[in-house]
Amino acid sequence: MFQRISNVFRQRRIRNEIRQEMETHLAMIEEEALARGEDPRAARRAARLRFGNDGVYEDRTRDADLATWLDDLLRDVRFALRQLLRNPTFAIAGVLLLGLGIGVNAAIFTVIRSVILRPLPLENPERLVSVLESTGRFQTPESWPDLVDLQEGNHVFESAGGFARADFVFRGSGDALNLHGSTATPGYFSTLRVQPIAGRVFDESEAREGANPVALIREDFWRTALNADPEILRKTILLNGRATQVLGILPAQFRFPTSETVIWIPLIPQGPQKSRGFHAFSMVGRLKPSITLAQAQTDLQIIMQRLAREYPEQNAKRTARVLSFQDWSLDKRLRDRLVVLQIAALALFLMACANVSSLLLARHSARRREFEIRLALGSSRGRQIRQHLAETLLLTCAGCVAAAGLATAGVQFLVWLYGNEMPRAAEIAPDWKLILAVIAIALAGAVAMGLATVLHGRPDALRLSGGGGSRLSADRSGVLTRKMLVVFQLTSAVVLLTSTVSVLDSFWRLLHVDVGFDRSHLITMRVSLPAGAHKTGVEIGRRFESIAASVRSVPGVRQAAAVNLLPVAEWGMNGNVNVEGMSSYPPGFFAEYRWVTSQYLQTMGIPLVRGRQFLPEELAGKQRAAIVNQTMARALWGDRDPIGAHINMFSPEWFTVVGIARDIRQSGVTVPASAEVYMAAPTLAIPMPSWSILVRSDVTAEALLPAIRTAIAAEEREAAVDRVQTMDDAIAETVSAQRIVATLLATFAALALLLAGVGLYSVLTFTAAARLPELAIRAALGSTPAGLVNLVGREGIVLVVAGLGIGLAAMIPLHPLLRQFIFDVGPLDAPLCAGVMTMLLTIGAIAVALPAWRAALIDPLRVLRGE
Amino acid sequence: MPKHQNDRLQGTLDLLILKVLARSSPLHGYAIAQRIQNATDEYLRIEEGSLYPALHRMTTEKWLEAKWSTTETNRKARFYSITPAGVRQLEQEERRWNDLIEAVGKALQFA
Repeated sequence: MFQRISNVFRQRRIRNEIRQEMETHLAMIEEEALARGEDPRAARRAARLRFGNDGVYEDRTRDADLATWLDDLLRDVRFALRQLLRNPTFAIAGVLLLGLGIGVNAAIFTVIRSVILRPLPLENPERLVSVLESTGRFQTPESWPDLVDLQEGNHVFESAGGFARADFVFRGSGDALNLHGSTATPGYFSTLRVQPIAGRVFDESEAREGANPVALIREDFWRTALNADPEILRKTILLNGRATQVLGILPAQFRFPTSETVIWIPLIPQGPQKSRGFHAFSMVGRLKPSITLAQAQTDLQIIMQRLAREYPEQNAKRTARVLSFQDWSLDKRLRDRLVVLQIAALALFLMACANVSSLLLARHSARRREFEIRLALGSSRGRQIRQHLAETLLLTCAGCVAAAGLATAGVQFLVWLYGNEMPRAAEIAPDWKLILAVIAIALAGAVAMGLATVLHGRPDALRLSGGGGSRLSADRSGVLTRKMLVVFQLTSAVVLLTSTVSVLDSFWRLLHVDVGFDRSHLITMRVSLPAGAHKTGVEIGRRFESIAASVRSVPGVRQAAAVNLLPVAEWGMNGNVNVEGMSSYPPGFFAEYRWVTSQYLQTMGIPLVRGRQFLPEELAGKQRAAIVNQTMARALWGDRDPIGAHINMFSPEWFTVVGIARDIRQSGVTVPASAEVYMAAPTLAIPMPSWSILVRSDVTAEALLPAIRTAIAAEEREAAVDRVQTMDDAIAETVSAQRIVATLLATFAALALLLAGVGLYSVLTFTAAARLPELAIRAALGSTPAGLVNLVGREGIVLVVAGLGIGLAAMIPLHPLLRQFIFDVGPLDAPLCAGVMTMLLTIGAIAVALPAWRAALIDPLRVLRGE
Repeated sequence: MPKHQNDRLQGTLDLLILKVLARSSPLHGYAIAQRIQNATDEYLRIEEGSLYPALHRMTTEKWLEAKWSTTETNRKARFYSITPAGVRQLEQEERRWNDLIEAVGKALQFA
C-alpha cells in the first residue's frame, strides 16, 4: 500500500527517469551504428519502433497506482451515473423496485422491533411476570382473594402487585373527558420499579377503604390537560365527580397496563369484588434473582391446587399460568400477524430483487457488444467488473435513499393507521441504526446481484472478430436465468395472492358473521357518569334506565336501551353461578354477567326462546330476575326447564330465571357464545359508571347525536358521551388486528401482482427484441402476424403456466402454515384458488400479449436493412 | 513488422535480466540488452519497450538496485545491480524454468 501511495508522488519522476534512460539507450545504439558505419538515424528509428508507444507502458503500470485507482473509481461512478441518466426508465424502475422492497421491510421490521422485540422500558423487565388463571378454555384474571393468596403464599416473587383497568370521568376547564386509567395496589409500583418524577406513589394507608381519594397522573396528561401546573401536587382534580388529591406524577414513558393509561388510583375492592368468584384483577410479580419462569409456574400452581381443594365451588379446575410481562402486554395474535406480514414483505423484497436482477441482465446483454469492443481495445476485465458494480451500487444507493424515505413514511403511516390497536405504539419510531443495518444488507445484496450479473455472461473479445453472424442469431445468454427469475416471481405472486385472498375471505366472513342479533341501523355510544355522584350500583342502574327512556323519546329513535358492557366489543365481567338445590353443578362453571335496561333485548333484536321479558317491578329493582342464554340453560339444566329456578352470582340474594334468550357472540365475533346471564340495571353489583347506550334508528348517528346529547344532558348534566359509532363499526373495531393484516397483505399482494406482471412483460419484450431479426426473416418468408404472436406468446404462456403450477403446488404445504399463524383462515378451497389463478392468468395474458403483438407488427424490411 | 521471437518468452525476461546481473553487475539497460542478445547468439532480442518497464518494476520489487552514474563514454546512465532478494528470486525463476523445460520435453517425447 505504501508503495502505491509513494508511487503517486514518484510517478512523474519515474516517467522522466525512464525517458532519460531510453534516451541514453538510443544514443548508445546510434554510437554503435556509427562505429559499424551504418546510418545512425535508421538505427534510431528501428529502435524507436521497438520501444513501442509510451502509452502502452503507462497503461501497464497504471493499475498499480492508487491515484489512478481512485481516479478510475470516480470515472466509473461518473460513467455509471451517465449510463443511468441516459436510460431513465431503467434507472427509475430499479430505484423504485429496490426502494419499495427495502422500504417496506424496514418499516415493518421497525414496528416489529418496537412492539415485540425491544424490552419494556422498565428496570430488569426480563424478571417481570404476569400471573393469570386458566380454566382450561379461558384465561381469566385473578379474583381478589386469589390474588391475595398468591401474593402472600408464593416463594418466587421479590414483590408483586394487583391492578385492574378503570375508566374515569375527568372534568377540567372544558367538557367532561373520559379517561383510561387503572386501579393498582401499592405493590404494583414497587414491582414495576417506577419512580415518580414528582411527588410519590401510594402507600398502604391510602389503599384502604374510606381513605381520602388520591391519584397518580402521567406526565403528558399533566402537561396537556393540566397545563403543567407546577402547584398540582398541592391541588385536587375532579375525578368521577370527587375532588381527588394528586399524589405524584409518573414519567410519560410509563404506559402500564396499557398505553392509554394516564391515571392510577388505589385498588380498593368493594362489595362483590371481594368474592372469590369475581375475576377482575391482574397480577404482576418481580421474580427473585435466579428464579426461572418454570419455577414460578410450579410454585404458584401449588397454591392454586390448594385453593381448588379449599374452595371447590369457585376454584375447581383453575390453574395458574405464569408468562413474561412482555408477552402478557402483547397480544400473541398480533405478534403472529406481524410475523406473517414480515414474511410477506420479504417475499416482496425477493420479487423486487428478481426484477432488478432481470433488468440488470437485460441491460448487460444489450451492452454486450460495447463490452466486447472495449475488451478488444484493451480494457481489462477487472475494470469492467468494477464498472458494473459501480452502476449496481449507484442504483442501490438511490434505492436505499428512496427506501429510507419510504420506511420513515411507512412507519408513521402504520402508527397512524393502527396505533390504537397496537400496544407500545407510542414507542414506535424510525430507528436509524436499524434502517442503516437494512441498507448495509441491501448493499451487500446489490454487490452479489451485480457480480452475478457480470460473471453470468462473460463478454468475449474474440467473438467480435470471429462471429460475424452473431447479430442474426439471437443473443440468448442470460435469458434462461431471467426466465427462471420470472417463474420465481410468478410463484411468489401465487403464494402471496392466495394467502391474501384466504385472509381477506376470512376477514370478510368475520365482518359478516351472524352475531346473533340485528346489527343494522344500530348506533352505539358510551355514556360515563361521574362515579362519585352515584355511589351504588342501584343508583347507577336507575340513572341509566331513565337516560335510556329519555333517549327513546328523541324523535327518529325507534328503540333505545343501555347495557353495562357492549356485546362483542366488551366482555370479561364474569363469575360463578350457583343454582338453588342443584347437586350436579358443573365444576368451574362461570357465566358472563350483563346488566341491561328495559327493552334491551328488543333493541338488540335478540329473541326470547322461552319465558318473558323483565317486568316493571323487576326493572325497578324491587324483584330480582334473570334472563339466561341458551348455552347457560343447556349447561346448567340440560333438558329441564330453567324457568322459575333460583340462581345467585356475586351475592347471596337469589334471582329468579324468567326467560331464555337466544345465544349471541357476546365475547367477540370469533368466539362462540358462552354462558351469559342478563340482569336488570338496578341490580348492578359494582358501581360501574360507564355504560353503552344502544339506539335503533333509520336516521344517521350524526343527525341524531345533537338531540341525543341534549336528552342525556337533561338527565345527567355531567355525563360524558363518546365512542359514537354504528354497531357495524364497533364490531369491525374488534377485528382490527385482522384488518391490519388484511389491508397490508392486500397491498402487498397487489404489488406482487404488479411486479410479476412487469417481470414477465420485460423478459418477453427483451427476448422478442433479441429475436427480432429471426422474426423479421420469418415474416419475410411469409409467416402471418398471427403465427408470430403465437411464436412469441407461446414462450410467455409456458412461463406463466410453470409459475402458476409451482405456486399452487407450494400452497399445499404452505397454507396449513398460514392457518397456524392466522387461525381464522379457512381451508384452501377450489373457487378461491380458481379466482386467484384467473386473476394471475389475466395479468399474465396482458404481459404476454403486448410484446407478442408488437413482434407481429414488425416491418421485416426495416429490421433486415437495419443490419 | 514481423513479430519477434522473444514474444514467446514473455515472462522469461525477468529471469534473463536477473541471470545477467547475477553474473556481472552493475550494468546499464543497454548493456543488459546486449548481454542477453550476445549470450543467445542474437536468437533473443530484447525489446527496449519491455526492458525498461521491467527494470523499474523489478527495482520496485526490491530485486534490483539502481544508481545513476556515467558510462565509459561519459554518458549519464542508470546502473542496475542484483540484491539478495533478487538472487532468491532468480533461484526460484530458474527452478520454475527448468521444471517447465522438463515438462515440455516430456510432453514432446510422449505426444
